[in-house]
Amino acid sequence: MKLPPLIYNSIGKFLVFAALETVCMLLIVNNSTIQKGRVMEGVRSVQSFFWEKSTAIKNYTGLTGSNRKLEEENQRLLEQNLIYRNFIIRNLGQEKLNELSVQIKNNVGDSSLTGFSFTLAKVIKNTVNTTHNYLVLDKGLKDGITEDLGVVTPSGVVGIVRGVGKNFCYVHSLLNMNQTISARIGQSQIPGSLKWDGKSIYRASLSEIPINMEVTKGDTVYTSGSSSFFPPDIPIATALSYSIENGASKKVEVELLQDFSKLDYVIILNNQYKNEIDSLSSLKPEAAKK
Amino acid sequence: MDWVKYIYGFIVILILQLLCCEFISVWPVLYIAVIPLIVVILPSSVSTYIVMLLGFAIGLLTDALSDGVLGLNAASCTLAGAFKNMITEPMRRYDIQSDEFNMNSGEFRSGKLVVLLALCYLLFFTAYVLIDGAGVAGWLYILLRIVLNVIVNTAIAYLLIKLWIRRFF
Repeated sequence: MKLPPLIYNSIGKFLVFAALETVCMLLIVNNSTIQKGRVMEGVRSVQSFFWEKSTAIKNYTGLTGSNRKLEEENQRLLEQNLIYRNFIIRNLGQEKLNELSVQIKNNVGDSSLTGFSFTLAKVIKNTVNTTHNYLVLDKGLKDGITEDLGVVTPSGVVGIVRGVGKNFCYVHSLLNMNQTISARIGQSQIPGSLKWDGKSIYRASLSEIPINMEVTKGDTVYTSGSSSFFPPDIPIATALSYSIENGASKKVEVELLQDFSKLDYVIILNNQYKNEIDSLSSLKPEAAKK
Repeated sequence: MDWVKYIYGFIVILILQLLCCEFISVWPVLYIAVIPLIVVILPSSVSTYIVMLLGFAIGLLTDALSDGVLGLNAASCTLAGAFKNMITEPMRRYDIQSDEFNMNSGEFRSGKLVVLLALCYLLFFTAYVLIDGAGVAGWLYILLRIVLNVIVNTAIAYLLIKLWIRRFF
C-alpha cells in the first residue's frame, strides 16, 4: 500500500524533529547535573515500570512450577494430616469407648457383662423416618464385627447387626417394625417382646406380659438376657401405661430411654460365647427328643 | 529569496543574542531571546526541514558560545522551527493574494506579526522553561515564567522587526 506524499512528508518532518530534539536532550543531559538527574529519574521510572511488568510476566509464566511444588507440598501435608488424624481418632475413640463402657457397666453391673467385649463405633448413617429404620456403623469385618451382635449405648438398646461389610456394618434399629427384642419389666424375670409400633420414635410396646403381673407407670424395662445379643439388665425404656391383649396378656406402652435422633457413638457388644450358646440352642430340640 | 541577506541577518541576530546573554541580566526568570527571530523571519516557502535545522544550528551555536546549558536553546529553537510553518500556513491561506508569508509581504500586518511572534515564542519558551526548570520548579512558577517571557520577548521582537528587520530585508 502506497502512502500519500503528505504523510511521508509529515513522517519525515517528525523523524528529523525527533532526531534533533534527541541530540539536544543528550547534550543537555551530559552538560547539566540537574537536567541529567531529572532525565535519569524519568528513565528509572520507565525502567521500573517495565521491570515490574516483566517480573509479573515471569511470575505468571513460572506459576506452573510453583503450582507443582504447591501440589507436592499439599500432598505431603495431607498425608501428614491423615497420620495425625488417625492418631487422634484412635486416642479419642479409646477414650470414648472407656467412657461409654464405664457408663454401661455402672448401669448394668460387671457380672451381667461377663463374656461381652465392647467395640466403639461411629454412626455413619441413621434413619428414623421410616418404618424399617437402620443404622450404618463404621466398623466391619476387619474390626471383628459379625452378624447378630447387639448394639447399645449407655441410654439403652439401639439394635442388632444384620449385615457386615469389610469396613462397615448394617444395623436394624430398634425403630424397625421387623425387630423384636426380649425384655422384662421391673423386678419380674418373665420376658416379653419389645417391639416398635411405628407411631413415635420415642415409644414402643412390650407385649406378652402375663396378665397377673403388676405393671406400674415408671417401671423400667430391661433386656432379659435370654438372647445372645444383649446381656441382661440393660435399661431400655420406662412403662407409661398398659392394656389387656386378647384377654390373656398385657401390652405395655413404654417410653424409650434412647433418643434415636441423637446417636453419634454406639457400642457393639460381642458375646464371646454366642456361637456356643447358639449351637447349644440348636441342639436343644434333638437332645430333648433323646 | 536572497540567502546572503538572510545569512547576514542570522549572524547579526546571533551576535545580538550573545550580547544579551552576556550583558543583559534584568531578572533571573527573564531570558531575552532573539534567536527565535531567525525562525520567524524565514519565508513560509522555506521547508520545515530547513527551518528546524537552522533553528537547531543557531540554537546550538548560542549555547556553545554563551554560558548556558548546551542544547537548551537548540531544543527550544528546533521546536519553534518545527511548528513555524504550521502557524503561518493558516495566515497565508486567509490572505489568498500572497503565495508566501514573509516580512516583505504587504499583508503582513502588525496583528498577524504579533500572533506569529507570540506563538513562536510560546513554543520556544515552553521548551526552554520546562527543560531549564526540569522538575525543580512548581507548575505555577513555570507557567508564570513562560507567560512573562513570551510577553516581554514578543514585545522586543516586534520592535526589532519594525525598527530593523523589515528595513533590512
